[in-house]
Amino acid sequence: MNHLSWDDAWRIVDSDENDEVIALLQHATTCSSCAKLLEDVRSMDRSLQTALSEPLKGLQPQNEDALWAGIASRIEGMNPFSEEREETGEQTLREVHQSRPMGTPTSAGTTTRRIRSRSRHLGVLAAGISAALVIGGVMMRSMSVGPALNKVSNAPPRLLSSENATATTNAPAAGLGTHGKASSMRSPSAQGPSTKATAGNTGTTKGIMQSAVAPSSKTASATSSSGTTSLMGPLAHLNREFTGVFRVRVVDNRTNQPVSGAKVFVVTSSGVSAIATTAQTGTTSKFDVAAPIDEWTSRPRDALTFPRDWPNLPPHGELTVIATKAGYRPTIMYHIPVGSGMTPSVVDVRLLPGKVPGAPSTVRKQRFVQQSYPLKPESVSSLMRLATKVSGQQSLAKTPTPKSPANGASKSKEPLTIRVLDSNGKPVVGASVMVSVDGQLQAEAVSGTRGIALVNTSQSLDWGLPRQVEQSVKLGRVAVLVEKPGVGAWWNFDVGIAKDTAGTLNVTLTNVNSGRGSSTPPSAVGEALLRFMSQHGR
Amino acid sequence: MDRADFELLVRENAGIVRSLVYHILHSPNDVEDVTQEVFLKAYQSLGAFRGGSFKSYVTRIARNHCYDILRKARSHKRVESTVELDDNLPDAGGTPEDVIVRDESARQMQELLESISAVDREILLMKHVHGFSYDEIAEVLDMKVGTVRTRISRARQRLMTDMQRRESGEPSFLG
Repeated sequence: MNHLSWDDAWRIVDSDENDEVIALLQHATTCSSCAKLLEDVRSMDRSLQTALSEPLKGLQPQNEDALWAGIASRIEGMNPFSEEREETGEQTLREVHQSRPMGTPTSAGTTTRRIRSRSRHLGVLAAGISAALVIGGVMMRSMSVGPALNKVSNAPPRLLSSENATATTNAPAAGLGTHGKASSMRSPSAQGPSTKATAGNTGTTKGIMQSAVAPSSKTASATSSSGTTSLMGPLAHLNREFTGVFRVRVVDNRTNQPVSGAKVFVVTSSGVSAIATTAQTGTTSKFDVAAPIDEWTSRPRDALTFPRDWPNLPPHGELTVIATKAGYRPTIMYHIPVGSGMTPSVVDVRLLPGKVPGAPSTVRKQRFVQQSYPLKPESVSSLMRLATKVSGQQSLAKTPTPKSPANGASKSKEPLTIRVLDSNGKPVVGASVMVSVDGQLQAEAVSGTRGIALVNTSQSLDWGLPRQVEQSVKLGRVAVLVEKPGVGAWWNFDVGIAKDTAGTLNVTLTNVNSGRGSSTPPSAVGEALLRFMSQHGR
Repeated sequence: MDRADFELLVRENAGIVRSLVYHILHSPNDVEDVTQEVFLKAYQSLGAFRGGSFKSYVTRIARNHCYDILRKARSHKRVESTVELDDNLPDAGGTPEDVIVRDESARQMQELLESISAVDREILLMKHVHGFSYDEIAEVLDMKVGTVRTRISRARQRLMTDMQRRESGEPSFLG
């Protein structure tokens, strides 16, 4: 018999079992040169196995449970509008709705929604009782968790890594309700710890900061499929929380080119859920977030406002996305649906440059570019404050020092000094101070240890509005709002600022009316903001 | 196929998918995410699965998905493998000297593997690590079985030649 060839030796090693290979193997046992060749090949086989499989051991621990949990949760919340489904010819939710007569309930959750819908139209009394239960429950919950919420409300978002992802707790960066009271009062504790599903995704959370992230996949499946229905009645689904996976793509509105390095904030009613920076492609890594159901889709009035869509609209949570980038104006997108198969796979945010030559002044005056839905005034201020707090403004563009305007007025050279005291005359630390002109929030600051907040209106130039801000401030009348949860709030819509000197404004936070300014208990701050902005809005 | 069946398939084939994803993308941070996406795709297109080897089916999806990602990212730049060999390499027996020699040859092999084409590396991965048959590899790569055999043989030959050159001190293809 001939000696083994290179390929023959590999056939033996590859275990191609047949008579010919067995004969070759027998020969190798008797022939020393063939035995050496066979040994060389076996040695190479082992080297290849080691070399190819060894790098995988450097990966994070391979947890099949976590992998499956992530897959299962994503299967449950599978996006019916995704390209994959369209490619495979599966019927999307939209197609389902379009293909059936108006008012015909969808197949999924048909009975539940039909009952709920009828209850809304017919059971006014039941709805009222349920609403009372909801309000009562929410009030009780907010009373019980209120202090805790205040404590954690300033906790900054934390950088997730694959190591600590599973230990992440829900500490909202700012306890700002963005979607109405019912949702904003939801306790973060309703969101479970992060998760197998998240853990499965943490590999890509490089550059993503998350504070209130998705619940565990087990929680997710529980909440998204059945919900935590501690309340009964037609509004029971207000308790529900939905999870969604999506990424954000930021593009330049003029050139349609992807914007890299843009900062993206994902906000739910519990605060900032995640922060990420866009890559060269303008996209972020995937966000895996949980959002409570939004009352926008829950209140019976919507059944009357949107009678056509209402029966077809499955319950879902909502979140808000803010994108900022130096040289661009920050952009907000509201009401991005989460869960119930409605979550878009990619949310496109279009940024407008900070300066648009020849653009109408009204456009240039807008701080945020609004998309999709009308802005709520209180949301504008809240979200701006939120974005300011989180981003620290340092990442935003520094605009050049503005020249004096043509009409001869100049901006105030000194920052506006606001001294915040409580009713006992002691300085209030950490009070939030906002300065508004023409209904637009221009600047804000936080009082320090001596209760003094320096509101430098030039800060607002960071937002890309140098001339308008300057011209507005120099007019001399600004509105100031000061608030400190647990202490009180104060505002004055007509604070005079002398030309070139801003001066000092003493503010005393109490829970009763004081002087010209008005004080409100913390719970009424939202309403105060609403009035504040509506009275001064253009 | 119900969810329990699919879960079983996920657990059985997760290792293959992970390693292939890692070897194609060279991005350890993306492995888990992309692996999830691969199985989601597999789940979504189960209707197109005509039977046969699910391992080949999901591997093919993984491969296509990874190349889609690379294509979309327009980033074919290979990141040098930064994962060092574990100091505790699997002990296949033998004297300490044998172990040292084996470790060294594995390290050299890792470097040499970088010199062959990505497809050849994938083929070797499927063959040597995950025990794919030639037929299964051909199915994954949409090639003829003979082509797969030829590519594997050539890749091995080249690796062996380079290894021998290195051992003899001659410059290899890597320089």
